[in-house]
Amino acid sequence: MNNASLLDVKNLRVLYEVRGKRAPAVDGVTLSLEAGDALGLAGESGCGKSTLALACLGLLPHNATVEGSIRFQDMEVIGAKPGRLRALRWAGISMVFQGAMSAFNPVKRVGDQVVEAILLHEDVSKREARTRMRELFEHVGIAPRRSGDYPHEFSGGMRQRVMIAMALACNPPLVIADEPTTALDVMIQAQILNLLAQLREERNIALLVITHDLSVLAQVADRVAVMYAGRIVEEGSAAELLTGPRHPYSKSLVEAFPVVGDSLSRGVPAGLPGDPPDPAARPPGCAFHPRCPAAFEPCDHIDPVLQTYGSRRAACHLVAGEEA
Amino acid sequence: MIGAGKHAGALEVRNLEVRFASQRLFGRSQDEVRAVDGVSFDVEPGEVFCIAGESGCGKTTLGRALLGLVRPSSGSVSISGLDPARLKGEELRKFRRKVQVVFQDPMGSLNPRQSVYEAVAEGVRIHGLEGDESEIVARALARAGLRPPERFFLDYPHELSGGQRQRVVIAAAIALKPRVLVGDEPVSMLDASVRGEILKLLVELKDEIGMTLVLITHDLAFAWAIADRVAIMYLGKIVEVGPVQEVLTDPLHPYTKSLLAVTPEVGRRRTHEVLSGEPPDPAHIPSGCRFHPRCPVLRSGEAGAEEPRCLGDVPALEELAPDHRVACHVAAGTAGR
Repeated sequence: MNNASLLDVKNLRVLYEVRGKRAPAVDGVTLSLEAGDALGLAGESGCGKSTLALACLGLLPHNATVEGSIRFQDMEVIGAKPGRLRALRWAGISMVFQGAMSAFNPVKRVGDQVVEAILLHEDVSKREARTRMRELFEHVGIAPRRSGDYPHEFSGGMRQRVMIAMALACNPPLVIADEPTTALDVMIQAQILNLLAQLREERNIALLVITHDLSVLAQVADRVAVMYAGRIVEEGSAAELLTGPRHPYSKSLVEAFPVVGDSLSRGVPAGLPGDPPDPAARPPGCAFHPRCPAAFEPCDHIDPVLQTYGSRRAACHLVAGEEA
Repeated sequence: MIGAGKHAGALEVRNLEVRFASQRLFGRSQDEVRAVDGVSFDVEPGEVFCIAGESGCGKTTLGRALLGLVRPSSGSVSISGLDPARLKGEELRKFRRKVQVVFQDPMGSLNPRQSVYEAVAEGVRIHGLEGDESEIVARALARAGLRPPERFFLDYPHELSGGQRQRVVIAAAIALKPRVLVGDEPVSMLDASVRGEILKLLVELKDEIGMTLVLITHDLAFAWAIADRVAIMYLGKIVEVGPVQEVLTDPLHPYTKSLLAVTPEVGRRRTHEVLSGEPPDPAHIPSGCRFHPRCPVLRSGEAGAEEPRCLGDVPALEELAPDHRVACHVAAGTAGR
């Protein structure tokens, strides 16, 4: 929140043109990230979390309208010229995607693809770039001799490691990871999450991890922001929010995870009925009220604002009442 | 449990082996891949039985063998006394009605050009169910939580959310009133908030229709929530099996312990050691206990006098606690054999 944030998102709105109507996918999000921070952004599909990430990289499709401000270091991302955006990607902010297979060129050796990324952004010789690529491979736990292999020769977990090596190629201060472990097995997932945490510590990289899976955030994030229908509904330290969520939506997300050994989570897990709202038809009042088990009088007509309570933020009439 | 009684289980699997010829792109076929390597278990009627393990452990192949989709190399599967590998034509079709499956990716299970109604009605027609077709379809959809069902009849898969699509797949399966429903990672591609709803549905339907559920998963938390018993698989073999409360709170096999250590938890940061490396290759199964190259007990030296056996002898699945069987020399040694 102070003057020198690494990433400062203010009142961000992203609207998509859908059937002639403009529907907000991101609807007024404010958040900031300091150097070395790890923020987790959680929510269901369609809540706007991936759109927010794409907006930070200036990668939104043409039918999107963007309002508000995204400042990365000293640069305003919204409305920046294509040349400046290209410089920002990889060197300033890089991204790790979910399906690592589709992020690579299948007919090029993976090592060459990483070298290419380095050469595009930095004025170094090919030899220096190759040396750095080999160091990066070692860093993420892949034998450098495998840099001559093609993407299909790697398993899912190894490919995700190469993807992380590539994201680190130009030493960016911020890495955005969108569902970095979703398609992976538990054991491999744990290895990748350990790797992300270790890299963050060694290189002081800030992480923005986007996922629907709160258990991933328990491993890598310091702070967690929960999004619903394009807005942040609760934010706090990972420890506080994941063990004591206050917004009924965050509660339902946390309760969706059974805990082995806890007799309370034996038996049918509590689900959340219904679907998230259509961005083009946001319910009146609190957008969550039609699914909220705790909805009461003001919820269906008064839109709750995101308020700060000590170290946490929440947009909920119920929480406001408890705090009053 | 292993009794040969005629009315024993809803499902009986005996010494099941499924082998594939491993192939290289430009080479001759090399070693054999032993995907399922001698698996036996029983599932009681109405039980929820979970098969858990990493990718490559053979759990999906095992599930496919239960459905009669792969032919076992040896051993047998018996569902209400019928073995799919020994059935043909009409009989196989009758068998298929009794055993239905729900896969991980609902989009892959549904024909994108088929409406919801058609998706559910197809099975009803193939199996020639008696009664009014549209009534059967409507009832199945309503039971799967798509209400009112008529509203969904003409929808196409792309118009539905991920959870709704999985409900259509479930409706198509339960319309046939199967005896056994096999779910291969039925919720792992769904949003966390939707998972609970789908699991709840499966358990409710199990009681309503009187089905037996066999669920295949890599997520032990999921097994904890809904299974009665769980079998942990490693490289084609069951290494530990028993009641969920026993196996997951008092695991005896080091592999089960490692899997539990990496099972995601929301409220706590994990401090345990993560097994290094990828699951080994079923084309090159290690000697002795197949887990030995990754076994933390062996590495720490705690195996003591059992160590040569870990490297040389294949451990048998032994009952070390009531109804709780484990294949580990060290665990068997500690249990005072």
